[in-house]
Amino acid sequence: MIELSPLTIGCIGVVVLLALCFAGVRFAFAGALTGTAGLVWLIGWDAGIRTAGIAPYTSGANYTLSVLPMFILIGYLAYYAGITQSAFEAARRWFGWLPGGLATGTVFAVAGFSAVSGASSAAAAVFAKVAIPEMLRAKYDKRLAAGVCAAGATLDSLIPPSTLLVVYGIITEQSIGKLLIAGFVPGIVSALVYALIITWRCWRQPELGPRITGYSWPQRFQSLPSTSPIFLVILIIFLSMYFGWATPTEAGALGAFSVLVFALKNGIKRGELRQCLLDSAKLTVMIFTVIWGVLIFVRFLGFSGMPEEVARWVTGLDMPPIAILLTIYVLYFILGTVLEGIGMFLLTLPVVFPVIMSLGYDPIWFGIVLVKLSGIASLSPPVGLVVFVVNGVRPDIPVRDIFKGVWPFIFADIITLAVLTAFPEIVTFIVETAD
Amino acid sequence: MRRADAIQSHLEDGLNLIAALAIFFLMFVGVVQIVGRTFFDFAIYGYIDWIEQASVLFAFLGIAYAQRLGSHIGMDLTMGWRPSIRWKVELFGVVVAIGIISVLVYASFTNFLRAYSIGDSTMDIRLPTWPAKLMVPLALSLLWLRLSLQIWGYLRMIAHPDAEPIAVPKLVTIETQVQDEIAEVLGKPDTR
Amino acid sequence: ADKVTWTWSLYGPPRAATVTFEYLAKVAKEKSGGNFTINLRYNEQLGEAKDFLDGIKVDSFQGAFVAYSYAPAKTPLQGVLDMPFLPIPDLVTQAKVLDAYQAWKPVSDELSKWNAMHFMTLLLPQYEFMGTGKPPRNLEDWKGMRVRALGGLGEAMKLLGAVPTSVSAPEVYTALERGTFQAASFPFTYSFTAYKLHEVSKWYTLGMNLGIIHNSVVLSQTAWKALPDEYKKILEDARPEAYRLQREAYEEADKKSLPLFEKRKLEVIKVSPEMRDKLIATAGRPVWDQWAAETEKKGLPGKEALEKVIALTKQPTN
Ligand code: NA
Ligand code: NA
Repeated sequence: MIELSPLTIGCIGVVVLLALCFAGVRFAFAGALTGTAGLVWLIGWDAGIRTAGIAPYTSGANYTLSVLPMFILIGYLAYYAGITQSAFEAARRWFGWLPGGLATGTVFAVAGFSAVSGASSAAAAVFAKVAIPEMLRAKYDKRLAAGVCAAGATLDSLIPPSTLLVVYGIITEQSIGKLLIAGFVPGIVSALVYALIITWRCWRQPELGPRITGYSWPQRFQSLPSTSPIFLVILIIFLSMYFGWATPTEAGALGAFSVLVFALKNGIKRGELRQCLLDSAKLTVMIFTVIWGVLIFVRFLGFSGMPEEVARWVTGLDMPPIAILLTIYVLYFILGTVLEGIGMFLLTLPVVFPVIMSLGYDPIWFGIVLVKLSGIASLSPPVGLVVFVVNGVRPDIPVRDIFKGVWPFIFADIITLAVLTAFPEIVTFIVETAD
Repeated sequence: MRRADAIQSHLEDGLNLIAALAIFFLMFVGVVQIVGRTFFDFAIYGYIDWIEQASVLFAFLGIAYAQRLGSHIGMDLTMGWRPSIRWKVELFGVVVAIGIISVLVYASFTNFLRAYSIGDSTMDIRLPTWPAKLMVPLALSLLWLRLSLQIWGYLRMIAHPDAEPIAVPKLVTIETQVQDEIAEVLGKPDTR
Repeated sequence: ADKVTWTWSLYGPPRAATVTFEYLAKVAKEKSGGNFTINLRYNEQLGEAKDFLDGIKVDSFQGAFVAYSYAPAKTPLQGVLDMPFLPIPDLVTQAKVLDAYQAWKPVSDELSKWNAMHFMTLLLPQYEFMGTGKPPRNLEDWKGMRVRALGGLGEAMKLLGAVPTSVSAPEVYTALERGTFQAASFPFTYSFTAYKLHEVSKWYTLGMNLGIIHNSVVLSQTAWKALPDEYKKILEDARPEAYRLQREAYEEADKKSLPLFEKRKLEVIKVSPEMRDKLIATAGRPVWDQWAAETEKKGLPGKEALEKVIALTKQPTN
C-alpha cells in the first residue's frame, strides 16, 4: 500500500463523497460507501467492514436521538391544531398598520408558529398557504409576499424546538437543552431584523406593501385568546423543564402530546392523524438513515485522524481567528448554494467543529451560527428547499421571483450573522443565565 | 414483477405503520414517565434502556418504504434533465446503494452475531441487545430487495422509455418533490 | 527495529483519567527510538464506549479505555468490582485488588472471548454524593430522596429508601438544579467540578465510599502477541510510574476542587466508620449477595468471584 498521510486519505474521502452526492447518490449511501471503503483502506478488509457494521445499530439505539420523532410529530400536528391561522390573524391586527405590516405580521406569526414546530419546510408550506393570499389581496408585491414566507420559515430551525439543533447537539456532543434555549434570542433578533428591513423597504416604496388600518384595540385583543395554544404549548415545555419535571428529551414527548390534544380539540380526523404518524415515521427513518450512513464516513475520518490534522493546521496559520471564521462563513455560503440542513451539518461538522473549537469559539454559539448559515443556504439559488416549497403552494409565483424576493432577507441574515459574531453574548448570555 | 412489487410494498407499508405506532407509543411513555415521577414518585424501570431499544423500530423499519417513495435525502441536481438521462442517473444511484447495502447486511449481521453469541446488554437494567441488533440486517435485507426491484425497474425504463413505470419511484421533479412536502404538512388533497 | 503503529480508542476528552494513556504513548515512542507509535483517539471518535470491546474483537484498534459497566453482559464477572460499598479505602489498594482480580482465570477468559486482555487498571476515586435540599445526616434521611445512581449503586440506594433515576450525564446539571432529583453520585472530587455540580449543590458526602465504576486499559490479544518483546517490556516497565501519575492527577484535581466547594460553603456530611458499617450491612451486603446469586443462575462463579474480591481487599498492601 502506498504510504499516504492521514490528511491526504481523509481529503480523498471527502472528494469522493462529494462527487457521489453530486452524481445523485443519496447522502446515506454515499457516506456509508465512502466510509466503508476508507475503513477498509486504513485497517484492512475484515476489520474495515465489521467496523462499519457497528455504526447503524449504535445510531439507531440512541436515547438522545429519540427526541427527533417527537419534534417531527409536533411539526406535522401543529397545522391541524389550528395554530397557524390564529397566529396570522392576530399578527395582522397588531402589525398591519406598519408599512409592509402584513409582511412583518407574517414574520412574527411564523416566529410564534416556530415555537411549536420543528422544521422549516413545514413552516414554509403552512404560511405560503395562509399568508400569501391575504397579502396579495391587500395589493402586496408578490415577490415580497412569497419571499417573507420563505425567509420567515427559516426561523423555525432557530426557535426551539428545532430538529436541526438536536442533530447539531448529537454530532458535537453538546447539551441539547442549552442549544434549544440558546436559539430563542437569536431567533427573535432575526425576526426583528427582518421586520426592520421590511418596514424600511415599504416605507421607501409604499406600493410594495400598503398599510392596513382600521383595527380597534378591542379587536386586537379579541384576536389573542385563539392564539393561546401556542403559548400553552411553549409554557408546558418550558415549565416542565424549568421545574425539573422533565429532561429536554422527555419534554419533546410532552410537547407532542399537548399539540395532539389541541389537534384533537380542533377536530383532526382519524385519517389525518394516521397520515401525520406515517409521515412522521417516514421523515424519522430518512433522518436516521442519513445519520448512520454519514456516521460510517465520520468513523473513517476518525481513523484517518484528518479532522485533528486540519484543526492543527488551521490553528497554526498565521491568521487571526476571526479571519479564519469569516473564511468558514464564505465556504458555507458557497456550499449552501447546493447543500443545506441536516446533510450540510453531517457532512461538514466532523472537520469544521474541531477547527472552531481549536480557535476557541463557544460550541453552543457556533451551533446557532450554523443554523443561521443553513437558513441562508435554504434560501440561496439554485437549490433552496423552502423556496421550492413556497413555489409548490403557489405555482403562480415563479421560483425565479421568489429567489428575487428573498434577497433582502438574505441580506438581513448576513446582518444578523454579523451581529451574532460581533456580540456572541446574545447567545452565550442566556445559556449562562439558564445555568 | 408487478406482483413482487405489490407484495413487497405491502410489507413495507406494514413496517412503516409499526414504526409510526412506535413513535405514538413513545410519546405516551414519555408523558407517563414525567407525570409518574413528578406526582407519584414513580419512574418507569429502566426508562432509558427501553427507549433506546425501542428506537430501533422507527430508526430502521421504514427504510425500504422511504426508498420506494424515493424519499431518502439527496441532492437532486438533475431535476431539470430529460427522463431518458435521468433513468440512468437514478440507476447509478441505486446500483451504488445496493453495493454498500450488500456489504452492510453482512456487516450488521456480524454485529448482531457477536452480541448473541458472546453476550451484550444495555447499561442500566441489562436488556439483551441482540433482538434490536438483529433488526438492522433484517431491515437492510428488505431494503436490498427493494433496491434490486428498482434496478430491474430502471433497466426496463432505459430499454423501453415509453413503458409505464413499474417498481420505480416517480421521477422526482421540483414539482413532485414540493407537492410531497406540501401534502405532508397540509394533508393530501383527497384527505382534506 | 520493527516499526509498529497502534491506535487506542478512548472515551471523553483528555483528563485526569487519561494520563495513563498519554504516559504509555509517550514512553513507547521515546524508549523505542520513535519506532513504536501509539495514536490516541479521544472522544469516542472510533466508536462508542459501549462498543469498544466489539472494536477490539474486530481488530478496529489495538487498545481501548474500557468501561465494563456500559455493556455489563459483555463481561458479566466484571460486575462485582462495581458493587457498592466495597471496602477499598484508597487508590493503592484499588490497583492491587483490581489487577489481582483481573488475573483470575474465569475473568480473563471472559475478556479472551473478545480477543481482549486487561493491561492495567484505570484508577478512579470513590463515588460520593453531592446534592441539594435536606442534607442526609442520618441513614433515614435518604428515604424518599430522588438520586441519580446507576447499576448496583442504584440498587443499594433503593435499599436505603431512596428513589434512583437514570438521567444521562450531560443532563445531570440541569436536572439537579431544577430538582428532577436531589443528589447525584460521581467520582469524588473531580467529576463534580467537571460537571459543575458544586454550583447548584448545598452539601456533599465524605467517606461514604460508595464504590466505583471501574475501567481498564484493555489490549487486543492479537496485537499484543504480534508485538516485539522489547516493546512489550517497554509498556510493562511503564506500569508503576503510570499508576503514580494517575494518583497524582487526582490529588491535583482535589487541590483545585476542594477550595471551590469551600467557597460555595457546601456542607460536608462526614460519614463515620460506624455508619459505613451500617451502610454495608443494610445496602452493601444484600446487593453483593443478590449479584452473586444472579450470576450463579447464569452458570457463572458469582459467589467465588465475590469471595475472591473480599479476600483481596483484606490482604495487606506491600
Ligand atoms: Na422551531
Ligand atoms: Na441553497
